[in-house]
Amino acid sequence: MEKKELDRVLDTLIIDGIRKEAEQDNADFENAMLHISDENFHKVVKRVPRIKVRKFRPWIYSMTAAAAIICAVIIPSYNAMNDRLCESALVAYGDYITPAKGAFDISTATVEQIEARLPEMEAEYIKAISDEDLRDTGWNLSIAYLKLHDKSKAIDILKILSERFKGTPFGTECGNMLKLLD
Amino acid sequence: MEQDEYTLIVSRFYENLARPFMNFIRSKFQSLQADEIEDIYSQVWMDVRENIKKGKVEKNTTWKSYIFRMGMNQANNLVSRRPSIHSIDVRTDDSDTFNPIIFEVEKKQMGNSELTIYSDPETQEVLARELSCIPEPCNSVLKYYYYESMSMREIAAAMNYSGESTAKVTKKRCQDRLKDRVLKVIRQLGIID
Repeated sequence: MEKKELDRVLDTLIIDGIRKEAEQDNADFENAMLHISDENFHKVVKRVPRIKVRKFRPWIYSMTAAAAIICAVIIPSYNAMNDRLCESALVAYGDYITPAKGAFDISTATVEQIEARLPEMEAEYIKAISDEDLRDTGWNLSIAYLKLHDKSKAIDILKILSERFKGTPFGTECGNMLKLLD
Repeated sequence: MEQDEYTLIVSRFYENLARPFMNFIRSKFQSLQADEIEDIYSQVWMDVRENIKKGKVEKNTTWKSYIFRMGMNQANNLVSRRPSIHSIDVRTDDSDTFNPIIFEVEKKQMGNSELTIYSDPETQEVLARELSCIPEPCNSVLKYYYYESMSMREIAAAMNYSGESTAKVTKKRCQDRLKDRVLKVIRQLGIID
C-alpha cells in the first residue's frame, strides 16, 4: 500500500475512532445527567437552586384578560404626563404585581421602602443569569421604577425584557406595557 | 448503573470542562469577573440538566459544545444589560470546522473498497487501545474538533492558546503522533509490511 493511501486510511480510522469514543462518552454523560439524584447533582455543581424573588401567577398567561385590562387603561391614559403614565401602567398591571411569600412586596411597598431597596434590586437584576431570574428581577425593577415615576429607566428594562422574551406571553406583556408608557 | 457511577461521570465531566469553559467565556467577554463566569458555568449546568430531564434537547446533541454555546448566550445576556458595554455577536465561527457529513461519505466509500486494513479486527483493537489513552491536551483538542465540531478559533479559546494557528498545529501534531503509534503497533503485529 502506498504511504499516501495508508495515511488516508489511518486518518479515517483514527477520526472514526475518536468520534465513536466521544459519542459513547456523550451518551454516558446524558444518561448520567438524566438519572443522577438531585442531591448528588447539587453536590457536583456545588450550588443549590436560587430562591426565587417572586413568581408570576399562572393566569398572567391569559392573553384575553391581559388585553382587556390594557385596553381599559391604555386609551384613557394615552396622552397623560409621565407620572400619570407610570401610575396608569401600575394600575393596569396591579394584579400581576404579586410577591412571593416572604419576599419584598413591591405591590404594597412605599416610595421610601422602594428607594431604600432599589440598589439591591438593581444588583439582583444585573446579576440575574437564568431566564427565570432575569424575568423576575427585571419585572420587579421596572415596577419599582414606575412607582418612583422614573419612566425612562422602566422603559429601558422593559425594552430588554420584551426583546429577550420575544414570542412568549411575558415578552408580549412587557411590549404592551411599553406601548402604554410610550 | 448505580448513583455512584452517575455521580462520577457527571463530576468528571463538570471538572474537566470547567477550565476550558472559563477560558472560552473570558476570551469573548473580558469584562466578566472570574466569579461571574463560575456562576454562569453552574447556571448552565442547572439548565442543561433541566433540559435533559424535560426532554427539551435534540437527539445527538454534543454536550460540550452545547455547554459552551449556552455559556456564551448567558454571558451575552449578562453583559448586554450593563450600561455602556455593547454585547458581542455570539454566533459561532463556522470557518475551519470539521464537517461530519463529508466525513461519513468518505468513510462509507472507504468501507466499500478493497483495503483490508480498514476492516481488520486486530487494527480496530490496536486503535481502540490507543484511543483510550490519548494524553491531554490531545484528547480534548481532537474531540473538540472531530466530535464537537468546534472551529479552530473556538478550540484556541477553550484551550487558552494564543490563536487558531496554535490550535491547528497542536491538532495536527496530536493526530500525527497518534497515527505513528498506531502504525508502529500494526507493523509490529505484522498486519502491514
